[in-house]
Amino acid sequence: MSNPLRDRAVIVGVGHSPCSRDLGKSPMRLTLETVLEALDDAGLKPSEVDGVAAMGGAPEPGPWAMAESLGGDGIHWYGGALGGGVGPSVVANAALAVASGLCHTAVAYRTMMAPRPGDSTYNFMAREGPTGVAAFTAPYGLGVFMQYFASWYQRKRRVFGVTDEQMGAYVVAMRDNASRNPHAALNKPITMDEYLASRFVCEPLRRFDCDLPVDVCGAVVVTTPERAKNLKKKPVFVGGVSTGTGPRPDMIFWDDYDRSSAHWANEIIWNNAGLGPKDMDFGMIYDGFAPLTLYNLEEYGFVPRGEAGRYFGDGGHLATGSFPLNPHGGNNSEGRSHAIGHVCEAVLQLRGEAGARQLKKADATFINGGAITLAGALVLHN
Amino acid sequence: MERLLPVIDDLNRYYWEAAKARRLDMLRCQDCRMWIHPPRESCAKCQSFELKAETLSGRGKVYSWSVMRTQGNPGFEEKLPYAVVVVELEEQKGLITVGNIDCPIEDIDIGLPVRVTFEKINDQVTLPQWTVAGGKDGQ
Repeated sequence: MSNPLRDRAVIVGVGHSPCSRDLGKSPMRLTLETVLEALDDAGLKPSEVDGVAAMGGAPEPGPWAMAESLGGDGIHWYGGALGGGVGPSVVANAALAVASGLCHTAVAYRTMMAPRPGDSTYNFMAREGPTGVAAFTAPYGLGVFMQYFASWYQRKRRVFGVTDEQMGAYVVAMRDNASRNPHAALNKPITMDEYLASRFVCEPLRRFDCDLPVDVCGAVVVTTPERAKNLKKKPVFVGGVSTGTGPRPDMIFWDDYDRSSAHWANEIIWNNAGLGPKDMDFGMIYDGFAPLTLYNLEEYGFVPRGEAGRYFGDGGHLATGSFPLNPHGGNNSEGRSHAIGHVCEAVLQLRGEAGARQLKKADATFINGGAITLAGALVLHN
Repeated sequence: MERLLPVIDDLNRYYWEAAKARRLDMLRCQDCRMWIHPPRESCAKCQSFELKAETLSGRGKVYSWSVMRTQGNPGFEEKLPYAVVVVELEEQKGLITVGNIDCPIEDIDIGLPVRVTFEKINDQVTLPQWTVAGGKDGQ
């Protein structure tokens, strides 16, 4: 059955700050400036916005703070992410709101700030007096988020034979892509030898497998196809969105490490969009830890199960490869943005505005967000 | 720093009392017999609230593992690098627990048979831990 919301929302504006360890701006200023950049790109006035999507956990300003800043007379809709897919899923939620008539013009954004000295971050979960699930993990020295994912990655490597060189081929390509991205934080090319010499932070995860925490904001403007006709830029259609999770929503106590939450988001996305993995010209695949791409590529049907390592080894992910990935360098090399950077790059590529990174064929793409227990998917096309 | 110790509450007390007595106990649904860990109020499969602690064999296999090489866990500053093993218990597919293991890191692999041991930390807390099964005591 065709989804009635298919192609009923379009992205008409995009704003994207540089990624840097310290942009010298407050989260509110960074976010508002980026939202205004997206509105200017669309040719819309701030007061024309009647919907806001943002997760709004500190330090990111939430929808109320944004609504208060845009000078309009109230808004018709606000919300967070659709399920757990962070950046892409904030955009997905805005698209659903527009497509279903809850609002006509929404801004969606994600702001991240690099931790300053003394800040606690969500990566360090071990706290005095662990309760709940943490009571069963913290006493064993299992309290840093990367340890959770390292346990998944270790199994993936052993079961499917993923090699250091295959993962290295991905990271080396992302640094190279990032060298053509003026917003990227890690924009110096590296060699395979440098990747292999990168120290283990939590084996088998290397430092170069992990994205860099940065100050960044990405924002998009979503409206109806009818309204888009009068705007500056060619609209990018939101073909479909999805989310999902498994029956054991804790990464360590999850009952099957060979099936991430993307499994459930995949069950919905292609029917919603009326397109399949083979219709996508390139992939914007979440890579907060580089090996997350293995799960995402396999669960969403871009490569057969267990074949993602070989696909990297064969160079399938390169701009010249069978299915180019993340031409902006991914979160791995652009900077940690919870994949809102993936959304911004997807829009630029589909509009043919990606400059030195522009892919030859870019009319349809798939974006995902979320790490293992969280999933969000988005199909965009011209 | 000292390692972080569990806050013992009404939901998890059975587990830590059993560990003090050198038993590995977990909740089990009295209606559909599904094992549940970490503890929750209701059965994840049949919605029954009739969950009671039962004793496991203490045997399983290494499902995965990681080797921590970075600071961030209180009490482990001097222990780097150290392994945390993910163990799938023999009673039920997908029944997962975690712990440390007393073998060299190089000996850890998926499928390695392990059995539970107990590390007394203080009068309140004994931690279930893991050792390679089939070791020199023949178990």
